[in-house]
Amino acid sequence: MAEKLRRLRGVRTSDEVGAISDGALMERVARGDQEAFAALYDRFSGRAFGLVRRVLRDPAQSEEVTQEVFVEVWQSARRYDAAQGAVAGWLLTIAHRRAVDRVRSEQAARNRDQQTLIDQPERPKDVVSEQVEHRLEREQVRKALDRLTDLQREAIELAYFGGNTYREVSELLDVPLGTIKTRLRDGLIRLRDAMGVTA
Amino acid sequence: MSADLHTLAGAYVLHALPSDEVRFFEAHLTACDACRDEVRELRATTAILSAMVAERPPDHMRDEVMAAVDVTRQLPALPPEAQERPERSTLARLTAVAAGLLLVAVVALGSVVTRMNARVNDLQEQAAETYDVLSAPDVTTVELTGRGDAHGRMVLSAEQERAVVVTDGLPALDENRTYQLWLIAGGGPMGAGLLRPGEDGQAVHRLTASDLSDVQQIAVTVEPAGGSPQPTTDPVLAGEL
Repeated sequence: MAEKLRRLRGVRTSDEVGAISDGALMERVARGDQEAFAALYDRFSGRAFGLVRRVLRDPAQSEEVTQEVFVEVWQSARRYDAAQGAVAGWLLTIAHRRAVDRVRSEQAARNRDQQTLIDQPERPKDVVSEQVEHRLEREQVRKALDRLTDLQREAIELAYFGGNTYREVSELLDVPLGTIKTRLRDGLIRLRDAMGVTA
Repeated sequence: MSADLHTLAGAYVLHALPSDEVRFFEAHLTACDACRDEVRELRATTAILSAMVAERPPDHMRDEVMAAVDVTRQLPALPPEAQERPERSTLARLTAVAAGLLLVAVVALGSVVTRMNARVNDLQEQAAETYDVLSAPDVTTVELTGRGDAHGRMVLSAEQERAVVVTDGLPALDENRTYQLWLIAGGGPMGAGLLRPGEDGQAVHRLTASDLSDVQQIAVTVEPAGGSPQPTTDPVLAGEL
């Protein structure tokens, strides 16, 4: 057991596992393949951790929640249904939901909201990773974000990166609820079209 | 306050909806192919957005996750019918919508399950009707707020000429009085039926009306048994479209 653990912990993704698609990797994870799971972790831990940390801010809590995310991914791997969307969307939805659940379960919300308003930058600079593999994607996202109206971008950032409900977004931006709901949707639709997302 | 359910996909994928609206929207998703497709695409979009904030986690986290996984059992796959949403038969979908509504009623409004069980036959008959409302292109929800704990929600479709009202927290009345629902348009209030809360304080009321698109406000008042032609007291619940 201890030997096996050491082997797994030390496991670096082999070229074979590293080259296969997210979907094929998930199929292997669903069959209980821990090496495939390690590869999945290496592929998505940067985005999942970054997202959780962006929402929660606290590093220790962010680590805890991100670990819970990956354990849930492992546990429910057989319930992932490719027909319902790609692996990235599924996994990062779990990450975002867990981060948001943690925020809402804590009554530190008021404090955090003020913080969000004060240091919500146009684009998150401080935490942007230097990981090369995301650089192109980030460039693409940045260009797509430039196509949004200020209200669309602010509303999406406050909801997605700030973990706020649409009601909180409406209060923070002093814009009616109905308008916020509409902007969240048409903003995401514009991003989808700008980035050529198909799912 | 009103909201077209079809516009909630954005807030839904961003986890920005309060839990009761999540349940309504998920019940709606079982009935609306277009929204289901949109949710899938917008989820993929938010996933790309997360690249903006990607950050390398500490190395010890990987070891901890792998150690946890090594001692964690994987859950079995969901039964096939739960996975094949898009191909489900209409009947299965109706059942899902009915179940979704039951969930809304039970969880959001704190209902007593036994009472709902007694009404399962009822619900099955009404499921088709409710399905039509929830899947209508123009489906709209209206939140009803009132004194104390009283609250409720109306889901309506002007196109289908149908609406469903669910209320909770209305205090029990003596036999000489009743709750009456009003739809208020330019021409003033129109009686839209009597609400009969159960012992749990919950009432579910379905109605058909040909001119729902003109309705601006919805109200519930206390009236003499049998109802009144016009409201005679101040509303205990009200909402605006």
